[in-house]
Amino acid sequence: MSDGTHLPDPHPRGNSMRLPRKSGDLLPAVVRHVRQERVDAYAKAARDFNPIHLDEKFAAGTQFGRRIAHGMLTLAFIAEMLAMAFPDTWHRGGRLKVRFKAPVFPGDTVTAFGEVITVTETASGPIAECKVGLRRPDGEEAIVGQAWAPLGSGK
Amino acid sequence: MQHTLRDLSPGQKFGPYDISLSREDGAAYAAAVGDVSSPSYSGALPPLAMVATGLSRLINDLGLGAGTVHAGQEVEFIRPVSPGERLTAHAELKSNSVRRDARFATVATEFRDAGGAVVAISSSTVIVPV
Repeated sequence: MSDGTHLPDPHPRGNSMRLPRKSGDLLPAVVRHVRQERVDAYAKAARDFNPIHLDEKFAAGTQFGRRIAHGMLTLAFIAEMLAMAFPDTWHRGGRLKVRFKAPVFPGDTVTAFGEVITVTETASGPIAECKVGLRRPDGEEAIVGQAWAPLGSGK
Repeated sequence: MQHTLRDLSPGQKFGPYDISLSREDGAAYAAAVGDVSSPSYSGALPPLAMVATGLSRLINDLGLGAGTVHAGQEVEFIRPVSPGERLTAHAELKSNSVRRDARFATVATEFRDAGGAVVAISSSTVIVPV
């Protein structure tokens, strides 16, 4: 199985890719397979060595019964989706607010999803408010939240 | 300086922490999360990499227990950060309370550049077993 992909739906790829700009537009979903190797690599990259993510014996004694992926690792899939959806503006004024509702386990394939809910005109330009989340293979939402992204002049 | 969360009150400040991620650090982060085909950020670091690193520093400084889990996160990106750019993270405990069998704590962090301008803002809520 591939480690991950960006689903081509709902926006065609390439130069003609349509970016989300209005209410109801979907963000390009990101699908990612979370292997323990990915969790281990993330621990090193982010310098977060909490044994709940890394130590099988320790994790077995927690409420989850086994190792879980870092919340910030799984949040990165949503951030990646937002960077693709708003490539010129996400890192210049983008805002994200989420709750981690359920754990993601190594072995899970998760999907980051989002939809523009409203577009608000502000003094600095239009801002898209989006519902975003991360869905586990069993359909449960591991992360839920909102994001706000400037649309810039290319609305 | 290592702290003990149960002894801290809202308003407690942490840091500043020096944070600087090299191009290699950014690449390692991107590879770990699988973000290899998203926009290039025009040579800047993946925005969340800096926040994740700052959070790890904070978790270590707070002496959080091994069973700590992440309950909520807010981030705001003001401007892109370049590889090698030196930032400082200034954190403050916003809330700290025990509900049922767990402690809930929220810490807000500002990431500032060498000139003192804020480049990103983060707020992290963690649950710590008690």
